Amino acid sequence: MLAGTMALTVRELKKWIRTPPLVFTALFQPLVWLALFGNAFNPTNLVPNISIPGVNLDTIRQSILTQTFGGAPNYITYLTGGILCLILMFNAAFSGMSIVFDRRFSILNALLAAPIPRTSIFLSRVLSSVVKGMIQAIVIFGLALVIPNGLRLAPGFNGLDLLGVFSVMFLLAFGFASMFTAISIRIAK
Amino acid sequence: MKAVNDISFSVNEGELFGFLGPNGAGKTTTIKMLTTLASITQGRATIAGHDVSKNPDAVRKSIGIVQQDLTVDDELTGTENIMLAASLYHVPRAAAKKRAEELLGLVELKDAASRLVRTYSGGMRKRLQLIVGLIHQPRLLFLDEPTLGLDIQTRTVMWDHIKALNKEQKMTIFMTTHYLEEADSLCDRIAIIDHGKIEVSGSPQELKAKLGGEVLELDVADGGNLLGFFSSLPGVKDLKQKGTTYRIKLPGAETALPGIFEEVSRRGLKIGRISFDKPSLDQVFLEVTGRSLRDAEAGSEDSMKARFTGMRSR
Repeated sequence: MLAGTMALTVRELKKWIRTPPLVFTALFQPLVWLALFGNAFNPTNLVPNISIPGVNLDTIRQSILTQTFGGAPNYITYLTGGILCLILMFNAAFSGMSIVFDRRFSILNALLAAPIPRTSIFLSRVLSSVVKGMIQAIVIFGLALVIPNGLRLAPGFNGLDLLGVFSVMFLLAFGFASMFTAISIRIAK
Repeated sequence: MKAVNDISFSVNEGELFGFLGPNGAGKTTTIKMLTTLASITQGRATIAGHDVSKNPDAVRKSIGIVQQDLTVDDELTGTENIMLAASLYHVPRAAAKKRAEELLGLVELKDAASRLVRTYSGGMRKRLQLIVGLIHQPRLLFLDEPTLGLDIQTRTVMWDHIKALNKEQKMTIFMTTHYLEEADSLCDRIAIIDHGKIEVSGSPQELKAKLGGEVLELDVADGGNLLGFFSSLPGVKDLKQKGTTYRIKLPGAETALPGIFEEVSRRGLKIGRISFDKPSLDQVFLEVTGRSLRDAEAGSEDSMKARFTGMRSR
């Protein structure tokens, strides 16, 4: 079970890495979301940069973040969590595509006739999708940290918290990928 | 719909068995059932001692499959394709590496082994596909139209490989083909299936002999009456004379020819022209399956596949 799953997962990932446009778009899209939307949709920008006597506009900006965005220190910090979820979800949406193509090229028949549990064919698509999604998410997570006025971690954020973040991302990726792979097997008969 | 109905045949160990039939006759369905890809609704099939329905995993381990479509992966190298198959068939890495080397040498792909299959020609892909199916040294190899769409040179090379596998490595081979001269020169025994039933089976020689043997046409220059002599030949079937031309249907004409020559020259006659027509497997095939064309229904997936296969074998 394990050997077959591993071999097929590695095959998927090799094919992904050897198609640079795929890797590029996978990273480019979330980066645009982060940089463009992170600035353009920032609601604190709606508060104009003027001075009104007796009114502290910074307090207003701060209270927008507190009330609407759950107390995030800035808008990108709020946005990053959402973008990470979107990356994992959209990436998973394509996890079943390779089964569709394998069926079309009859490669799937060759796999079905091999002495491996059929679960491993399914599992390999899910796992490779999880790996792709996690790589994208980790890169974007890192980029969000380094861009100006970017992601700010809460004080006292430690390694265990980081592990928690990654675990949640992993579970999300795994769940979405399983779901979408199952759907594409069903609808692409 | 019944694709295959109540068929029964056996392939002996070490045999090269040809499975022929028009499009839509049930060849692919039969192969799918034997390779555990389609379930058998009635009856039973045993491969290498294992029941196909009850013990599919044991069957999968003992067979190799080379499909009609090109199933090697474009985005992997030749070696990677082989090693992938090796891990799917539980061949230990070291042994697989050694065998991959051998097999790549066998089909002369050593130089291209580390290139992406995308850069291969159609013939190279087909050769690679053949050895990918051999990595686990299967006892029985299924070849589904192994030479479809290949040029004459590549086809001849493929024939040599198939022969070598069968004769030197003692591999039992079950193949389908539309090229009857291929079945004739390669197969020990063939079966022709049509409308889901096996119509005839036997060695190519036997089947051709059933047609009544070779047709011999002799033009004896100085006339003379040879009718009596020809009708005395053993096994003669059909004898006609038209002027100085004799037309004889004669099984085993090859061995009878020297005797005929001797007799003609003993009588002081001269042969002006001689033609010799061997019955071909094509004639057997048409006799058994009729001449009507088959427009088997093909799903959209099939036409898609055909297009891709055409594209990829260029």
